[in-house]
Amino acid sequence: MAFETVNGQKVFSAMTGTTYIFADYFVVFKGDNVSPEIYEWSRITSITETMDYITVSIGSDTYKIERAAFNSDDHFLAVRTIIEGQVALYPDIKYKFNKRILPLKYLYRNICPTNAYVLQGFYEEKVINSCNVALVIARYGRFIFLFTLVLIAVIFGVVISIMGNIEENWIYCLPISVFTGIIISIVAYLIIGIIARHKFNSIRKVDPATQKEITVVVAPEGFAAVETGVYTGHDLIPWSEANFFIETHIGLVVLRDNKSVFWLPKSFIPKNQQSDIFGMIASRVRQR
Amino acid sequence: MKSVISSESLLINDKEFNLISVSSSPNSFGICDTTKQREKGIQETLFVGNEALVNIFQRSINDPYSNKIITQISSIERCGDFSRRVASSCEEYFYNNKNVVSALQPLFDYIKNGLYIVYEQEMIPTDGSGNFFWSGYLVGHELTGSSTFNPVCRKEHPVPPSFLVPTEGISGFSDKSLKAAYEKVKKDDCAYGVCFHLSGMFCALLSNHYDVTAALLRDKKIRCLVIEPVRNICTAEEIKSFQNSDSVSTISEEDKEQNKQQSQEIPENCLYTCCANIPMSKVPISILESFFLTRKNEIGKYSDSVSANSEKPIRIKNKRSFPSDIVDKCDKFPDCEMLQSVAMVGYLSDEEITALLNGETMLNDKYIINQNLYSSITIAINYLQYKNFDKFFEFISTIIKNEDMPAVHQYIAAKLQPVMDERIAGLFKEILNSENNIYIPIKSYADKYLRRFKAYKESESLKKAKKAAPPPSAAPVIKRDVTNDLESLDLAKKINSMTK
Repeated sequence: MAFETVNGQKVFSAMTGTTYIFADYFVVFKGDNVSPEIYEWSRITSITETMDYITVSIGSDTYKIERAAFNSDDHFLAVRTIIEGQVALYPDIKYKFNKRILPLKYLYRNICPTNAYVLQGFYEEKVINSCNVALVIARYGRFIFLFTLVLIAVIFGVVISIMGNIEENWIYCLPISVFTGIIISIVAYLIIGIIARHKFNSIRKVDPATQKEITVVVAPEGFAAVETGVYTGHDLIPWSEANFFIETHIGLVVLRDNKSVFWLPKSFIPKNQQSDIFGMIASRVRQR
Repeated sequence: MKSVISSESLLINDKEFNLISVSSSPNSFGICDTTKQREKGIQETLFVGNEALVNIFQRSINDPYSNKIITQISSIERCGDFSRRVASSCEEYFYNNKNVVSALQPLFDYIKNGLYIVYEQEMIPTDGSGNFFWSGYLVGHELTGSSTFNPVCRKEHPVPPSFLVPTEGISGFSDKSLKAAYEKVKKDDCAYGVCFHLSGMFCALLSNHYDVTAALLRDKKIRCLVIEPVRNICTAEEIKSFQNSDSVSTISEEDKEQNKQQSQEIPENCLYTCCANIPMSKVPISILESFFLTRKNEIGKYSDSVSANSEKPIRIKNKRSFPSDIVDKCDKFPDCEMLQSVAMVGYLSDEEITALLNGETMLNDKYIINQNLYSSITIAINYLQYKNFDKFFEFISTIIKNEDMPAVHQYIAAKLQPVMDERIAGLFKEILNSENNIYIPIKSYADKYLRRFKAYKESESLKKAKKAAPPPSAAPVIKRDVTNDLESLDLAKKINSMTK
């Protein structure tokens, strides 16, 4: 159970003239004189979030709510938070969603933190990019190194085969192949950086949360990174859900199942608290 | 910022209810979730501002039919002028005949956002097990009838809240205030109060604790205005399943016909409250919308401090003892088993009682109470004990004498312990003198009862003698007989002179 303290949300779809309420129940008012359809969340079979719609299916009934029905990004994010909070409670709901930068809300548990560090700020592109690159290196660093060695060997072989005599020419061939191998690896590294940057941009297009103020919580019981608009201070992801973390010069990323779940830019943290916070994280999750 | 209040008056089963929807309130009075570790159980707390007054703890997380532990942890005197506001609301409603909304306005200005139902209800000043309410909640214990939904009546039959939980501290109990309340209640037909519904059959009394105590001593009724938060619904599917299960015969013949008509109607979604299920068609859409929009665990600015205060040790001290009259009278009030049985059964005909005694659970192809014989019998026992003592005695004596029903004997013997009656004493005497082996398990109960009954009889006759005796005109003076002293003084003098 999570995010049960987020205020209920009313959404009016001008397209169908229907009012939807997302709260402890999913309620559909089809008109002023008609008794509402009330659905317990356990009855919902699937929820799909796309760029244009949120679609809720309950057996044979399907409700399609256009994005224009949400008054603002905050409104949409609050509805999405309630939905994911219920998905945490009813994992049988099939939930399809767009790419995210923040951890999915169904990973959270209803935990009131004690002695928590609560930090706020915006996720800047350069921070995310740097962390993304760090992530790629952490994941593929060894492979890039191996790739470079293999590349050097291959180039060396090719150059020797072109030049003919290995005994006379190796002194020229070796620096050429090492240099070329390193250059190609750097290019590959730069391409990865561009991909990482593109990855953030593609998320930014579909997830309004990337432009919102984020509240980050680091507590002995767990961590959280949620949009400030829906933060109520009662939900955390337990540390047991995280596998390891990576620290870069610009921030820190916590990973779960090899995917990033929690981004903590150093710019969020006052300098006098940095060692305490990183110490708390390091004592609970191993560093890679 | 002032609360936005909208209200609707409803008449359901000839009883008046007021639905009141509150929004934009400062959320400084009500019940909030103060659960610490969900794996260990769910805790809710009645609070006013920062002060946590009553904790309601439920061990099983997902079972709305499990009983709860209710503990009073602080007193309303610590909440500034709140108790004065409640007392004035009570005065306005019961004595100045103001309507519910305007009388309770001082409370609704502070109450948590949400939907409330307000109604009058006769209350019992006990904890549902015969203990005086004011001293019954200082040590947390599981209370029968405190579950969210009644396990006997489920969501089908409303079981109105009847038992009180105090909010005033007992340590400040004064005989002077009780005396004043005693005089006040003497003038009125009954004592009045304002309650806030906590869970199941339990309500927190927010005002007039002395009046309620005085009413108990004077054998007068206690009428309270109950504010119940509406937090649950009963869906059309659930109502349909109740109708289909056909497990209950409430009901007199007239009611049966009415029920038939009702069952032909299409069931509709209802708001579930302890006093009645309110069809949603009777509720204005704006109120319904605000009900669904308000989440059960909505938090306010006080939630965190209340949560911290709910953990602190109990901040009220116990009083050593109450007048013995109070304790004796509390024993005679119906317990929660009786009230829930009455709510469930509604009516039992002689024919049905006879069928149950014959070991039948069905009559005319319908369950009399439910399909389980022993459950049906215990429900019938509780129902009859509340409704008709003569029939109750007849029923239990038949069961006790029935050798095929030993499983219920112990239940009956335990149930009869607080009921002081000559006929029951006779029944227990018979049991004690009987050589039949089936009575062995209940002989200890019989012995205990008879000893208590003897003590009860003696105390009753003493009370009667006290009442009958004329009041003494003046305290008798006991004169000391000094003749012996003088004689011994003379003797002492003689011995003295002889020795000299």
